[in-house]
Amino acid sequence: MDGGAVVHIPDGYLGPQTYLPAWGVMAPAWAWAAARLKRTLRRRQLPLMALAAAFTFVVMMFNVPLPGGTSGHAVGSVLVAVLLGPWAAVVAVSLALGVQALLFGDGGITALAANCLTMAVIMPFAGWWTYRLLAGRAGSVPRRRALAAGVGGYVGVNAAALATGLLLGIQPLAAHDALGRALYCPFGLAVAVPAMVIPHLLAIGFVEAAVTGLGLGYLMRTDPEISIAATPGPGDRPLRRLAAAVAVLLLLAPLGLIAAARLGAGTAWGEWSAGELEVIAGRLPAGFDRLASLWRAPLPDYGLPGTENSPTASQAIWYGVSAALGVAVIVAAVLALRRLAAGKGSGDAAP
Amino acid sequence: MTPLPEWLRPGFAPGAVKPRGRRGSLRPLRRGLATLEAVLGTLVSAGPDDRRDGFLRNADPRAKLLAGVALIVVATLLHGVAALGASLALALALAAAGRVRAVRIAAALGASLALTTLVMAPATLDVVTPGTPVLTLARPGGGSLGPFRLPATVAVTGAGLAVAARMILRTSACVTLALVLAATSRPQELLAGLRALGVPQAFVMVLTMTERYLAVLLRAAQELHLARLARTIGGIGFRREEAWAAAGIGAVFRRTRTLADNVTLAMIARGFTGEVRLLRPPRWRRREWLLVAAAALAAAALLAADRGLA
Repeated sequence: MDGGAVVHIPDGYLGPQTYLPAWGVMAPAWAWAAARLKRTLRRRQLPLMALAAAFTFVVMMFNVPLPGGTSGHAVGSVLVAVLLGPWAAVVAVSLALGVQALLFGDGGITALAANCLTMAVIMPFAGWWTYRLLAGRAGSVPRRRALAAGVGGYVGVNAAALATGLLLGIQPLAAHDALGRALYCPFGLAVAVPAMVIPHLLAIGFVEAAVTGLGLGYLMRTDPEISIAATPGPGDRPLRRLAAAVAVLLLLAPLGLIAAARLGAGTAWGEWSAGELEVIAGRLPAGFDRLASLWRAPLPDYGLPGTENSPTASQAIWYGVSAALGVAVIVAAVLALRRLAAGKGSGDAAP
Repeated sequence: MTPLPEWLRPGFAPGAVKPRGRRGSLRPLRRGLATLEAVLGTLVSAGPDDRRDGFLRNADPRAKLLAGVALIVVATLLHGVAALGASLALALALAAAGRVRAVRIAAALGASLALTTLVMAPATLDVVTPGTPVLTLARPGGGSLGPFRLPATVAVTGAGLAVAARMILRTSACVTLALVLAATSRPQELLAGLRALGVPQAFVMVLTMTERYLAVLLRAAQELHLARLARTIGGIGFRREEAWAAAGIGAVFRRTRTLADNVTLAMIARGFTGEVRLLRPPRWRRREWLLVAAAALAAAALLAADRGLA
């Protein structure tokens, strides 16, 4: 197997219902990125952007071995985002994808904006924020920053793969003929998302992590003076923005529950209880009951035990509370890991 | 003092030394080198692949881009197999008119066909696209495998074949049209022609510079690969190989920064003030109007036929 990174979607796989909105999203994103770079890079921007785009292209040429005799290549978006900043990555990766589509026929012309959305926006920003969050106040501790960049690369490429899977998976819903046959990519979300995400979670994500983490580590080790855009300064508060975004999402979380109740939608696919599964499948698989009773959750179905049939408003409140509790547990775990990583990495600061 | 590697010590005989621990292979390195050589080859040979003259070769790239992109967009809007077949036939006719080499068309179409056929193969089955069975492939009998329920039969359906045919024809038409664009224009001209599609001048200039310096960085990466290959006997472990790839990328980045600084200084020394100017003067003549009008007419005819046939 020679694993590529996130698939460049060719022309014909996405319908106009998808690629036109993607152009609609990317046009202002490119304009915004260009305006941001104009402020920060000034006259240097043109050659640096051109060469950063060429660099991104070249990164994709490096084959990185994987255990088991396989190899893959990275996208490099997160590395560019960490080194030059996320907006520079938006422009550089978009240009590289443009050259690939126009001159090499790799990735479609109509699908260019969708490819840029996944690989030039979602990937660098997901990776950059992860890096900023984990690097924290690492200062000049190269190992910790390289580790944070590696995790950023892994998160970024998986976010991009998920987005690509979603774009491909919605095609049968977005465009089909009178008989219900798909007009574009015929695989639904249940096939497209796992097909994109699983290889990235298990293999390709580690290639991206290695290239991003080891690449940054190499540059910091061999050239301590090198300027790195995503160096957290003393006044930076990356967590504050993330906390605000999480708070907004927490407030919006019960909307899905309310909408499902209003529209009369059933339980989400694959999240059935034993009773619901028995009705749908006609029988309960052997051992299901035994496994289902192994662990009694303190908040079953995101509510207090016995409140399953309470009014939707009450369920929505408990849904929000459950979401807040879940986030609190995850934040505590991440902070504990961060403290652990800080303890291990501090040795690098010594000469 | 660093001890000499085993292969530099006196009395070393190749093949006589047992590898210590797990050793990787040179396949990733060779594969990377092959990819680099292929891309460099494409870059060098990009554009008109011979000196033959032709209507499409002499047309302004802006007109070609407008016409080509319009036809690609229309190909993505077509739903009927007949209309998509006509779109592919038109693309092949344009390739012939542009005197694109048959081997180049075959290579591009072959790669696209192989990928799309592979991806679309499961879509022809009734488990993905239900419909009238055309060919029964297996009869699992409808039992269950653990928590999964097996279908009674696995068959290729007529509807599945229609879905796959639609995708294969559409992607083939799009790939051929994109190839006609690339094979009948020089890369710089093609990128400069993006102005006609409303792409800002600064982006066009940066794209043109990207194309120009891409070869320099590709060559740098190729040299890194060659140097590594020349210094390596047998294979090295995948961890070291991984570290080398990351270090190589780091080295290319450093060269990128240096080159960017040098190019900036050179541009400023030549009077660059940040204002972008493209060298190519506009050459929009009757031929270009004719090309764009013909493409618009063909696109409209294809759409009308498709909607009529549907």
